[in-house]
Amino acid sequence: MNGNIDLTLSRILKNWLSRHQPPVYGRARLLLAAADMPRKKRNFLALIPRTEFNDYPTYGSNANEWAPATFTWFFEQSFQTCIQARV
Amino acid sequence: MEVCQSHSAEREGLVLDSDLVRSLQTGNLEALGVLYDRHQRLVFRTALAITGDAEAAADLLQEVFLRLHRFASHIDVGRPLEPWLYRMTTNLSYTWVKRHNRLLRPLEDVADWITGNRKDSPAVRTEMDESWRQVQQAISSLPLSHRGVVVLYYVDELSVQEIAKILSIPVGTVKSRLHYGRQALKKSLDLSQDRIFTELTYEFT
Repeated sequence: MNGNIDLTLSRILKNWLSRHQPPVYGRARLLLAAADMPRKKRNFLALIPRTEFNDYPTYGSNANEWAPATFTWFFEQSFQTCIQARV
Repeated sequence: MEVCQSHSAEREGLVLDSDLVRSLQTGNLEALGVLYDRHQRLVFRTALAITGDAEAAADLLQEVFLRLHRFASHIDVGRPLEPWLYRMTTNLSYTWVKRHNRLLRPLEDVADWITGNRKDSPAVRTEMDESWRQVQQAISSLPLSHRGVVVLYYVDELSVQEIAKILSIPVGTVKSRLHYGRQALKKSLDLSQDRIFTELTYEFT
């Protein structure tokens, strides 16, 4: 049923795309940029300590949720830094 | 598909992608060049089909291979490289389209309005053949998530299962997006079983 339509769509899209070619000097441009760029060898983000208490609901997506978001953030930070929060 | 390609590379005496990635992991830029030569068309046409912009596709082509270089040490050489390239290309193209729609398009519209160079003016319209313009508009009018699935299926000829794995979505979702995309393209390109776009469906020999 869809065979003819699929074939037609595939040909139309491929013919449309074949009107454009990758840039001629793309390889040279890439190698030049790659030579200047340091490679990522280690994931330094993994070194940043993360909270053990990450099961809180994510507040803050709504403007009305600023109060619970602040409350959650405050207690989370308190737990992480071992400071007792007294509110 | 990937397995077939690696087998054919082996038959033709070419260096396998996995060996090239291994070499890239040691910092060999020549390996990056070979991978670029081998996969540039795949990345370029996928980016072009999703963005509809040749300049953006050229920039994304470079960005994908720069990321391959940068994150080479994180790539599992035991797995085929092509799904990684498809995933990276699709994600970067999605990001480009979202950013372009949010930031750049309004600015372009204002610039066009100031200079009087409207996109639908006859002078601009003659630059692009009307039929191809129609194809580009049909693709651009698809929602981004459907566009990615349609491009991977029709342009890159991936199976529904492969697309599901690349985009990390269920097979059923791929099928429904494909169905929606097919219907939308049929409608916007005015395709029916008995009417075929003869001028657009020629095949290269």
